[in-house]
Amino acid sequence: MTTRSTRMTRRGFLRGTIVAGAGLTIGFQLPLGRTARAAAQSTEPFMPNAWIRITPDNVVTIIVDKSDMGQGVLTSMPMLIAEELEADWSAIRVEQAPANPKYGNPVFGGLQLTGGSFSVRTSWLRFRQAGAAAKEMLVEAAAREWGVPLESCVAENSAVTHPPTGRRFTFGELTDKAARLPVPEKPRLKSAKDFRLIGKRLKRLENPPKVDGRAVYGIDIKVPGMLVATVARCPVFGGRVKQFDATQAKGVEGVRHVVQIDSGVAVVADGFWPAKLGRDALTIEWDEGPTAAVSSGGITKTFDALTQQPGPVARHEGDAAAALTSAAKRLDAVYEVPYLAHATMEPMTCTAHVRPDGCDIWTGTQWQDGTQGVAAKITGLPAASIRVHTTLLGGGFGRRFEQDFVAEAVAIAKAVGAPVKLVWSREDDMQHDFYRPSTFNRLSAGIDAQGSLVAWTHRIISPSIAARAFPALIKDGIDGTSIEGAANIPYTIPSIHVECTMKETGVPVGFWRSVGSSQNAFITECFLDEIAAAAGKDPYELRRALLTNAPRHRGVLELAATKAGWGQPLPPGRHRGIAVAESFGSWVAQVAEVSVSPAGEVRVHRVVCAVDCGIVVNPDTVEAQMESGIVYGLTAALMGQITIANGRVEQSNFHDYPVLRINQMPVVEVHIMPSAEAPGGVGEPGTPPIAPAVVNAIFAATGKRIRSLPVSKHDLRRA
Amino acid sequence: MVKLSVNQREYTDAAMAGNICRCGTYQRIRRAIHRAAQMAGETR
Repeated sequence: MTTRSTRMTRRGFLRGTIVAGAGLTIGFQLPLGRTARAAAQSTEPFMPNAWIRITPDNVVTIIVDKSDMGQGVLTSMPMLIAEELEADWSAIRVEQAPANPKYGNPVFGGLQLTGGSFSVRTSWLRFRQAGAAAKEMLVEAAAREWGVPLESCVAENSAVTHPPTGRRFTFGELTDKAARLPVPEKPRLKSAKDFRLIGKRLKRLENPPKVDGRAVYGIDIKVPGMLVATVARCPVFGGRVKQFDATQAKGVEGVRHVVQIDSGVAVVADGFWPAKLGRDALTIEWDEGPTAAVSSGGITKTFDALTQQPGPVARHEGDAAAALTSAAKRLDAVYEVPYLAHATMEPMTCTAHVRPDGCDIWTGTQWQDGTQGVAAKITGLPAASIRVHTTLLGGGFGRRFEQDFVAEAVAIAKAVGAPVKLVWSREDDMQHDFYRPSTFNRLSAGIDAQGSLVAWTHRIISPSIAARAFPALIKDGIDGTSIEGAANIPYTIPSIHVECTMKETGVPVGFWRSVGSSQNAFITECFLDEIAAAAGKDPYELRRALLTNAPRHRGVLELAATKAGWGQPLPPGRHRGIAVAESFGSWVAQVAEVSVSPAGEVRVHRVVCAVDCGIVVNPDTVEAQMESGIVYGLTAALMGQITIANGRVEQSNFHDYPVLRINQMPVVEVHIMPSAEAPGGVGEPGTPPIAPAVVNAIFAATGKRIRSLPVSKHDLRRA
Repeated sequence: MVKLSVNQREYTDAAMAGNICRCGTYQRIRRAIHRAAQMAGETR
């Protein structure tokens, strides 16, 4: 592909894919070392801010500083900018941003990070302001040129016109003059009624290359002179190399180097297969370390014992202890959830090239300056000389926030002095993950003589994600991610007491789609269902009655129940379960229709999902994210568990860590609550309610209460 | 939009059950298959 701008050709940046006809380029980073304001030269692009570049040939390029893992930021971010900029949507181009402080997210303290379902909601105002400011500069440039009032000019489809005289400049023709103007600090934003793009089901710009195979993921990267590496790691967490013999490995045809790194022994070869065969031929003696004594059974015992003691208090209202003692009816329950793997479709990959003067890294990362920082530490090079080229991510789910695979690739590349692509196998990926924590929970509830819920206590034992990954999230000895969805339950209950104790086990834990809400919605919404049964109340009506102070919870709950036909007859054998949860700035309620055969097979037929995510940028993307979150959570609920034996993960691939197949897929109906509120997240909020909705439906179908996941480990056979 | 009958869905589901999607696009895959089949039928 060629471009008519001289400056771009001189830079010689690495390109990704091109979609002909749509005028879209998805490329890699431009080494941007210049300031946003262009000098007064007619070939200079107009760059009023970090995200917009307009060249004299009227090409509008939007630079996206979020990583795309299928959630469509390569479309939604440009929609925010193009809307206010009045760019011609059919001709815009999109580029991935480099790692650079100007792309830091103020909400994340300046980190350049994609996660927390934060992309739209933290860009909603900033990106619209960026687009509007640029538009105002272009309009002013045109108005001055024509000697007409600003208000008489109209910006539309990458051009400014003066309707009274029919005069017109393309944005490209105005770049030089616009660049000389000051950037407005408070540009006017459109009101929602004037949106042309926002709110529309625009097709994803980045999808056509995914269908015809041109899309470039980390695993697809090829650079000249590139070697491929695999790493042999100790199967026990925290284990180290004691000694190794590489003689056989080096004898494998195609193997070029064998090098020891922090995490194990790397085999570097001409391609993946010789690297894999070379790794198989290594003889390694491991110092397994203390985690070799850890097993799932032992973890449960340890956690159970810890629930006999009080822990740091996350919420305290009323007097739950007294209320429980005097309650007419008391419920007690133990809930447990397993470790879960991310299991992204693309295993971890990273290509690195370390040179004396700098470093290039190509990878799907959710945290660009994290990648830069890790590489700087290993190479000793200044961060600014480390260029991060973000590819598409073959699934993120929080796994690609971690930099472990980057550290490996950089260390190997530094050792061999050539570009190295590190590829993890599926087994590597499943056994060296940062898992969704396994947690152990003791709950109690008190119900009075009238059947009202008067007390709720919840004691949580959980490994801490934040202790390793994000210490700022720990307050007063409590990891905020362990209590989200548990300490902030929305129900009006006179006495609530929630405690949380952090307990490490040696199994690494990390951010997994919807984080703490992934387990806490299951635990709290199922326990509430138990309360409904004990009080003789309908689960939907009980929630409605308790959501006196939570209008947005109640809104989605009622929408889902209405659309699902709650209370109306179902085909024989089918039963309904309901759940509602707020997470990452959005409210989601789901009703699952489930049948359980006499042989105990669970079939989820239909899921009705209601989401309140505030104002919607792209409704198709919101629906897609709800469907996606539901499938991700349903997989985990029905069949997901990572178990530990002798400090090792027992699962290794999709034969023993199964995932939902298309013939298990329910019909999913998504209803979006109309709203003018500020946007909430949609990447994660679809996941928390599905496990409780399904488990509650299973109770309705069988009378069996499931308090530990996955469902598959329970015998649901009935006589 | 193409609406699938239960029989159509079960047929293609069985054929496609060997393919995994971690993004959860299964019901869109179903619709795409049937739409493609319809289009292929229309051009014959």
